[in-house]
Amino acid sequence: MKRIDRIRTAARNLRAGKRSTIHMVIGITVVMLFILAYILVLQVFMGYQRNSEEKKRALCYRFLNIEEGTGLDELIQRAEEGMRRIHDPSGVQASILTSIQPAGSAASKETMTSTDDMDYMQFIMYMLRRGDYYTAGNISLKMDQTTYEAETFTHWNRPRYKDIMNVNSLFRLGLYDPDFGVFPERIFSDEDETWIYGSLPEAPGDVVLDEYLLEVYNIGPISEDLIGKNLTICNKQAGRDILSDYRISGIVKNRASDLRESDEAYDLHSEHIYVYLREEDRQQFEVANGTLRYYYPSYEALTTNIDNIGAIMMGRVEWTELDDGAGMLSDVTLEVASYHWLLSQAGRFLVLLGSVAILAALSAAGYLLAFYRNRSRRFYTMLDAIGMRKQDRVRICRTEIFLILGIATLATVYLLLLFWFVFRYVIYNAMHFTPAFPAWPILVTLLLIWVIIWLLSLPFARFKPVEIGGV
Amino acid sequence: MKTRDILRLITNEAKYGKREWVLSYMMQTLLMVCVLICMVFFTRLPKTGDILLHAAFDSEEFGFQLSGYTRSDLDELTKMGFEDINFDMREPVGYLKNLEHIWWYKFRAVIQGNDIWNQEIDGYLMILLFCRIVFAVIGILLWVILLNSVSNSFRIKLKERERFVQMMYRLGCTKRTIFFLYYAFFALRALLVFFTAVVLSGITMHLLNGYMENVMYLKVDMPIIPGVLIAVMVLLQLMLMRRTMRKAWRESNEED
Repeated sequence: MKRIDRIRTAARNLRAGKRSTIHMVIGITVVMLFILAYILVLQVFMGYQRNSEEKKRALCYRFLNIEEGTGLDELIQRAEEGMRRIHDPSGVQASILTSIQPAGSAASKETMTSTDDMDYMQFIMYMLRRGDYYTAGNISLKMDQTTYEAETFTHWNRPRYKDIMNVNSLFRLGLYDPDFGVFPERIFSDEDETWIYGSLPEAPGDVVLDEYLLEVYNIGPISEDLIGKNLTICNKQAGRDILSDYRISGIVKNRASDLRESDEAYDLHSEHIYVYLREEDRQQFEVANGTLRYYYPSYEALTTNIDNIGAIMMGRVEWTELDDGAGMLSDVTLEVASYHWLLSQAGRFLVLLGSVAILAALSAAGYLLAFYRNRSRRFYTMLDAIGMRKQDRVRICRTEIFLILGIATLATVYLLLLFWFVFRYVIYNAMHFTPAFPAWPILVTLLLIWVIIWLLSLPFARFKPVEIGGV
Repeated sequence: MKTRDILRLITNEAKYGKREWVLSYMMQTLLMVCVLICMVFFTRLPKTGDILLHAAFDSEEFGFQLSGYTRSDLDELTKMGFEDINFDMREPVGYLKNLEHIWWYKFRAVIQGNDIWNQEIDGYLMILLFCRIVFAVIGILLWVILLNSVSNSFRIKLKERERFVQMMYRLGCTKRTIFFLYYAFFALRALLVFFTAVVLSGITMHLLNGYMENVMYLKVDMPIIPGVLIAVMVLLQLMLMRRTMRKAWRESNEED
């Protein structure tokens, strides 16, 4: 039988039983619409969860404060110990964020007793004059025989990272350790070159600094030409070099600070220069303002690593009682982790419910095919009686199913788009979130539905003809 | 026709198309359970959210900014449940103990050009609303599929038994008796589906209540049987059955 004749026969048969055909089309449309709408809702749900966590990506960590005066070797040991306390450290990246000061500064501050007649600001000014703190005024940078002083200060409308406002502003010398880097991979991708010229320190004696520091010290023009030059940091007040001939391995762009630090962090760090200390230089420094941060690959990993997140969220346990030694959480991190936990609980249930419902919906499609078989039985019996081959009958049947599926798909796509516009409008106005249409999951699901319904229809296409006059 | 004979005919119907009605029973039960669970969640989420937020924030009441409201709206705000309303601040502030109907209040406020908000908990409220919308949408779609499959089930059965029905009519059985026969048969089937669905959803709710109590520290007590819902579904199915049978009867007589 010719293909065109098969299609014509199938179309005529469908037209002859118009009511039943419409019934079939509506039935399959509803099933397809349900499954596609469910996938759509699930994708939007996951997208919302991902979006809200992505905004707070920089806060996905637990942190431990390091006491001032801690030795640098002890700091490394503490970082390693903290990693060991994490239940599942896969994907967790530890960072040491600390500024360093001359060794013994913390001890000498402790010798100041409360009987000394100084308030806090007077104490700070006293310490600044003693040279125990590095300030923009008493630190100069030497490069290519030229000495640079801190001259360019921003006072008004300044972003958070521009914190050197005058000569008394602290000059924070940051520590770089190759095992506990300061720019976690979770936030700074190696492939994304928009945050750094050059590279991170590769060997002891390397230093990386940011554009803002170069701006304060009028070192320019800022370009890759500065990479490889030697930098010496001088303490003018003490009259000596703090660090000599350190190679500039990279220049971090200002946006890196915005990427890593959040205004809502408890442990804000704003070092503008990170030094990979040589062995002989390590002994002269100690921790000034240090934090160990354990960055998790996702909020899912973070909540999984907190044993009693549910109890914390429900107020049964104070978050400060997290004494597993793996670090504290800031309020915002806890809030995002709680959102994630809540959405995960709902999401799990949604997936379970949806799987059962899809199974039931697909079996409803099987039901429709059974209805179609009952309706078409006499017609195929007649075809058999007039001598049509079984092969041709089967092909006509499959063509009919194909046509029904095609019409149902068109109707489904139209209704799905309507549903999408309404759903998106509701979500945007209620939650200020604009979801993207998940085209690929929808297409793949549609294809799968076609395959499943096609497979379900195979046994029905081979039904035996009824006896003429039989019940 | 004697009642005993009608009952015998009804039970006799179960012997025909056994595979079909067993499969449709399983499928409709699954669908019914899913619809029940979705509707339970839709109705109970506000209450659950209220308990959740009170526990998480360890607070008996929540302060809301009442943007756009003035002293003339005091009665309306009091009816909503707001207490200690202070109009002297730049933006009025009121305290609410029960957050169950908060989205309805927010919606009404938006329509009136006002706003009710709390920076601390608005994020959580949005999540709860999102979940509610999702469960409502899924529940409605499943309900449509359920009704569609119930309608198919009627049509398949009546199509299969078309000759039997015609024979009964020609033997002198009234149209009313034949209709009653199949009403009763489908009603029994539907009741079986309902009861099984109620039992299964009850077990699911019990397990869910246990999970929520142990993992989420929430004692919510989701209801096992949302009575009004069941009644509405039964009524809809009976109406559908009546319509389908009359249509099938007409089609059968037209063929003759």
